[in-house]
Amino acid sequence: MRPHIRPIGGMAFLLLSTFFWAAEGRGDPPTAPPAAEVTYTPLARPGAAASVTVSQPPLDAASRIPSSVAPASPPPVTTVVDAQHAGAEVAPSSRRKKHYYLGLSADVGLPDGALLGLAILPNHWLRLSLAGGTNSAAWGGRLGLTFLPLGFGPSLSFEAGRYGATKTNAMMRSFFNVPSWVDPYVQEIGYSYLNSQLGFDLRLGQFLLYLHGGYSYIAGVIRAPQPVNVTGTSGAVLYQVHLVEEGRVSVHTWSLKAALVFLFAGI
Amino acid sequence: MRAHPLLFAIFCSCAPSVEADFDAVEITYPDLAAPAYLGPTNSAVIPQVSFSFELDSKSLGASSIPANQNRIQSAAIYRLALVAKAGVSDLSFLRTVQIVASLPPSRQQPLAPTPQILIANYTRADESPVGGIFHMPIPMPVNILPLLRPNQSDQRKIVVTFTVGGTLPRTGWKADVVMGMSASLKD
Repeated sequence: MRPHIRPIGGMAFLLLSTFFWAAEGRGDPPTAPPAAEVTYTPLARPGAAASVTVSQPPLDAASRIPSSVAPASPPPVTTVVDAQHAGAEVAPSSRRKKHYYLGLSADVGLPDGALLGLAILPNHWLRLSLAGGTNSAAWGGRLGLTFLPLGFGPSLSFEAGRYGATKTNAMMRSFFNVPSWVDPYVQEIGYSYLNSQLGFDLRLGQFLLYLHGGYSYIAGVIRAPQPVNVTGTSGAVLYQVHLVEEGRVSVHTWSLKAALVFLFAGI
Repeated sequence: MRAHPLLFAIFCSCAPSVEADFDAVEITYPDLAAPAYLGPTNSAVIPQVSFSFELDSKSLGASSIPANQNRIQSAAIYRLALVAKAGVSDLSFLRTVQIVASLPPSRQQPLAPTPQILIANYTRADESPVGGIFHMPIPMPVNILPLLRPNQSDQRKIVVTFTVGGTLPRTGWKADVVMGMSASLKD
């Protein structure tokens, strides 16, 4: 059976990315410059040159083409500004979004469990994470690496985590469903896992929300320290089955994770 | 589009799957009763007695449903031992031991043949004392997978029959049977 790729899905994703690009402020809608001719006049500097005049044609709001080409261009405006502060007034970096270098994260997913962690963002396209948490039965940790080619939106993550072997509970049994005849032997379980996930990261001010999903490889152990009694119809123990050595389990499966990151330490 | 086969291959390779390997599973059947030997002792033939016990094969994953049967990739016995419990303290009297595992006759078709697997057929040559534990040499793991794939009409049991020969006691005796198994599962 040939799988169908729906181009409309890709288009929708592209449009969604564009929307969030705009929302992020990186694609600010172009606006007309306030002045077509800016005159810088040094203040309280007797004897200095009276002014420096820079001529610049006004740009059309939509296409940033000179107004001489575009219709209905605004009339030229002359503004007098302090030349010593002019750089700060017009520097393009002032419109750029603040970059935060650190974040505190909380995420929940499978097979990750629920974790709290620290995110390190050395630049806008890379995020490193170190997290610790629980799968409801044991404590564990996880290291991660996330690439954000656009600085937000589509992301690619690689993570490695581990939970030590411990006694299973009802929640663990519900997530890791096994055949009924195997169930008595799954008394303790522990696992390491590798995630490779695609996702979408959305930045809202100092908060980062993301949803990642993909493929996970889980390598685990199953232990049964207590022998399993097999009983007859009368309830009497007929014989015992004992896992002398731990069983080794490998799982290839889908995985999903949702997270909230609070960003701080920004410049 | 050329990407289709590649995406399909990636999708298939990522389809959820589970594999499990259990290298050392020990089944202990306690206090298996062996009957007293009441036959002649001066015969040229080695005196023999037979006794057996049953395992519930469902506890080992046996199923008549093909999809479930395929979950068990392998099951083998690699170790077997008798541990003297009552009536005897030394198992040096054992000279020959034959162990066969089989499915009991079907209730619907009692005369139909059922799978039988010879687990061990051992003749002890040396005269050294055995002591309370008799370890049965099994040179190669014995595949018992056919016993875990019964038909709809088969019973969910495995009968393990011992036939032992030697200078057998005139009274009944009991021993624990310890079987070492390995198994691998896939889903």
